[in-house]
Amino acid sequence: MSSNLQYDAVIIGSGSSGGTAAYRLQSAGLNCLLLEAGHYHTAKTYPRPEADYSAQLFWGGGIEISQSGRMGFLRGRCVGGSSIINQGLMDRFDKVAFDDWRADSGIDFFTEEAMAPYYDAIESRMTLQYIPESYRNRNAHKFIEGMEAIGCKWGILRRGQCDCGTPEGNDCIACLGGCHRDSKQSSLVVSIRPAEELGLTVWDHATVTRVEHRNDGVRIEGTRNGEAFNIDAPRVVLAGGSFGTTDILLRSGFKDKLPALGTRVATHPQFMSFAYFDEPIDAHMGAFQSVKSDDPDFRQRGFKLENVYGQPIGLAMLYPGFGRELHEFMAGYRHMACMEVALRDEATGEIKLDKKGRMRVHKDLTAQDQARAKDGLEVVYSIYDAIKPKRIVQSPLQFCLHLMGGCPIGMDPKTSVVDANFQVHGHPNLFCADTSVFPNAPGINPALTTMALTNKMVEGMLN
Amino acid sequence: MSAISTIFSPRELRTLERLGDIMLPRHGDTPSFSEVGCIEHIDSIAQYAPKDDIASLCMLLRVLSFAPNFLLRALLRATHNPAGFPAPIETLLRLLNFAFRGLLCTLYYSGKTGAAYSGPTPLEQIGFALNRMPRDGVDGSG
Repeated sequence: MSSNLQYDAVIIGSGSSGGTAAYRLQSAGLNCLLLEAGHYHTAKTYPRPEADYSAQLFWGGGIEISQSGRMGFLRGRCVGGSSIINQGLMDRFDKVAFDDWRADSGIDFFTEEAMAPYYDAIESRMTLQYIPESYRNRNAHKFIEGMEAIGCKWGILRRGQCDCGTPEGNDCIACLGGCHRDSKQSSLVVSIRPAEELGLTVWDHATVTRVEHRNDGVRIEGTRNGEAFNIDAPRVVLAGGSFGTTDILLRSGFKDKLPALGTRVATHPQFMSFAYFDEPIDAHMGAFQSVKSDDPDFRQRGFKLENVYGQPIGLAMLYPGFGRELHEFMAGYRHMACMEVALRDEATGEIKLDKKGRMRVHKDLTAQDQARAKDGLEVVYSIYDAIKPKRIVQSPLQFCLHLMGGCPIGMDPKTSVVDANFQVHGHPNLFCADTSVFPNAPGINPALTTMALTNKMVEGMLN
Repeated sequence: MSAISTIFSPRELRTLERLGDIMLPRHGDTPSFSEVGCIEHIDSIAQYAPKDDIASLCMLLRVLSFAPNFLLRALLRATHNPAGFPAPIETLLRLLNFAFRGLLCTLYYSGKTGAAYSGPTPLEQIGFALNRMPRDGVDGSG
């Protein structure tokens, strides 16, 4: 099917970057098409049981695995992308992150001051809240108790949400499978639906297989509901995230021209630890994730601690055993506190295509990463020592939700893929500001900065 | 085997159920994987997995169908402790751990049971329940 439809811009991918680009471009009067490989769900239709939402809302039917089998990657496959299945944590990058980005990319606008207007622009369009003390659940209280016992600083998370219903007894962990209250400030809620009201067209179930840059625009090839399509557009925004965007460019043959394509992949690997108590903790109930570590020393040491938990399937996946042991672990589901070490890892991973043309992610911990993980886990154990659980279980699996790099931004086409105008080097009609452009791991949740970068990219496109 | 699947053959399903009973056996009042009958819902999960991965899994299950239970147990143990095996085998064992654990635990803790099962679900047994409170104007609590 060749499309005769005329669009001023086509956006591939509907997560934090794609939604923001679609809203900004459509608001500016451009006629836009947004393509998404997954399904268009609403608050009413998100699959309810964990088993169903894991299978239906995530790439790989639940999880994708690194080439070595050591890491599991979680990324959203639905309209709204990973913003549907993440926790909506919205932090700006700090001086440390931007200094490192500037050093690696050579791009001078990576400063807190220069990026502030672009953060302001996205923050003005979403509701950001801090969960009050009275809403904290027992998992949060255990975390705070332990942090204070060892003399470490903790802080309150800033979350993109508007009305989570905690006083009414709503359990927020349910929103890991899509927020049934439309409280979470996902790309769908903040950007896509408002853009649709302005005329944005959204195609779900649309998988892009190839892009071809031409003098007057870009040709997109793909399939929708099993039927092939071609679309020509004067400008295209790649917003499939680290894996999605890199995969499309690799399939499209850009690696020959841009040798850095697929490189500098980082994932903020997470290591979860569970502490069992006699009394119920009910970490899955109420306000799910409300506090964090905020210790400057941890930042320097390259990790942070998060106060999280999982639904039963996620926990069963994380336990390092089977049979009777697994049953006994799961029987303590209501009695466990949980925290995780999230690493600021080295961006040494690589995305490649195998002989059959399938994307493969080569990503393992470096010696520095392993040392940081060990350091962070020792802090976790000292926290647990202070709050005296009956036993501690450490999961050996590394899970990653912050997928970054693959199309790093920079000045030199030999060492980067996207330039300072967020154009793919040598391809002025092809734009990208999603997490794939990250030159290294910031050690901070990437969603807000992805939207800020996209705001800056769109400003350049419109000028 | 009462399960109906358009993805897995009865032989493959039987092997998967045997693996399920090793990973999640009966333990006190807690039912085994096969007792719950959750395998009847396997297609509702597996249909979303990459077709190449499912094809490889089917082939492996056909091979494993000839293995006695003690060998299946040894395989599961190896997938949980892959360190020390030669690198390609270690990688394969890690991938199998994700595959077996992912499929079996997903089904077992799905809250779904077979037609013949009438006991409490594994989710009920561990005391898991979520409150999804509706919000005015957004009727997504179902």
